[in-house]
Amino acid sequence: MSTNFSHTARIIRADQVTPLIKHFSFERVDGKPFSPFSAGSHVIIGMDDGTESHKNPYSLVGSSNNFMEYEIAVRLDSTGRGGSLFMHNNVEVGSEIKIGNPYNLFPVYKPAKKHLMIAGGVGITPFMTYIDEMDLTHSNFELHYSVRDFENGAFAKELQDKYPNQVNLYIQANGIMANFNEILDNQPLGTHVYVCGPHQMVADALRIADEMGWPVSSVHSEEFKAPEPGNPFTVKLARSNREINVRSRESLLEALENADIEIPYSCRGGACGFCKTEVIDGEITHRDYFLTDAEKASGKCIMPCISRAQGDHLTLDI
Amino acid sequence: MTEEISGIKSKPVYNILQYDPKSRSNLLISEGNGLEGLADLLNGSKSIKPLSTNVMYTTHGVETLNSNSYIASDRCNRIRLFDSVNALLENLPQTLANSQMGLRLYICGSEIFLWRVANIARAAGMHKSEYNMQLIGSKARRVYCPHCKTTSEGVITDIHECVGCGLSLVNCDHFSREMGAYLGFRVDAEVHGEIPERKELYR
Repeated sequence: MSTNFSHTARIIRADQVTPLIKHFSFERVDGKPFSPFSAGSHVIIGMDDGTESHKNPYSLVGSSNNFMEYEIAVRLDSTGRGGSLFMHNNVEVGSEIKIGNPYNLFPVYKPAKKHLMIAGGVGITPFMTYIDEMDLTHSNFELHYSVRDFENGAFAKELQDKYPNQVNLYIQANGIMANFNEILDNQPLGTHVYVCGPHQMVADALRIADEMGWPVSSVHSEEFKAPEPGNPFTVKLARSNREINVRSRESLLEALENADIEIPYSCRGGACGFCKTEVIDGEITHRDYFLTDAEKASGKCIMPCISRAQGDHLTLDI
Repeated sequence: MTEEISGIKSKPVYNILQYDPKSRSNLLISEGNGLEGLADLLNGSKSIKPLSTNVMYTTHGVETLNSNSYIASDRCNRIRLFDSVNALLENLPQTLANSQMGLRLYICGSEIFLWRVANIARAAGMHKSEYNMQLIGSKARRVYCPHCKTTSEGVITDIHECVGCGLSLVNCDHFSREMGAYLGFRVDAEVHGEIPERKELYR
């Protein structure tokens, strides 16, 4: 966990792998190796488009044995706040970006007898390092990957070519949908399931696993939300006696950072819990996956990476 | 001696077997009079589906079973009786390897038996939330000696002589689920030769 970017990196390859997904490889500008990472790790990429700075989490998709290069795959979100748009339109071979150290919120459970992966769309990204590691360790694995159409299935062809017996592709445009009841049925004892994709897909898979008697300890999922724009509001900092305005397009965390207030973070997507901050006053619109329902109802804490004030102000205990 | 070292959190607490309605299939396993616990579970939980329920048990070493240790054949799919605990435990890994997610284990018997089964379940990739155990039978302990790394079986007194190094060990309630054993340590570590009288505590 770090609030500072560790390195400056230079793009050495940039490929449009699907109409919406761009695949980047980069190396450190100082020529040194990156930190080793475990399968499922993400990094925070920092970009500055001239008017706004963005910090977005992306799963690493390259081999965890190549320390000289990191790879990410970025899905274009044209309704988002501009980070992915910037990566698509402005970041090319030779561009420089900031990068933080890798962090893993979605690790492989190594003692599992079998690894069952369920991916939807760009949710394939963490599984790229999973499959790389499972191939090297000769682990028993199976991937079920749903894509809108073949053209939009990032890495679909290479995965299918390399692992024809383990990769199952569901192309929704052809009317082929993944049936989680069938996928989760008759899996051998000791299997762990990992789910990454759109919110509804993850929720459905988790619910069906629970109904089919899978213990929570054998079910893993990851989804990052991006901060959504909202109404501007004022945040009062009780301890330092300051007032900061949070603009419509920036998150509370970004507004604090822009005012030089360091809040620890890792995922910036409401999942990891690092940026949890105490709230003294003001109504909160919670959007994270981290806080329990009871914590959300208490109104005493907020995940500033993606949650905002419901009204026009919040008072934080910082 | 043991009173001074009680209240240790790792000491297992056992309850009566509880049917998990989320289960897709059930495997009931017992030793000795533990069969009574399985019978109580099956007779008390009418929602257990007989077709997806199997029983493995042994009554080796028990002269007369408790009268209510009776499992009606229509309450389960398959009942297998084994000649000995070892025969049952040798068969279990293969049975689990042929099983699917959604299986729950219900284990009933002596404390040593419960943890031998639990460790086979764990090696098969099961999490503790997937098995449920009830203690009926001997509370005799496995005791691990940290001095010579030997485990003594069937210890019924607070102090015993380690089968490995012969030191007098006092066993405490600190329990290792991985080893299925309580931790022993040299009772006369401070004053060699000063060994209190032993008491029988774990029948």
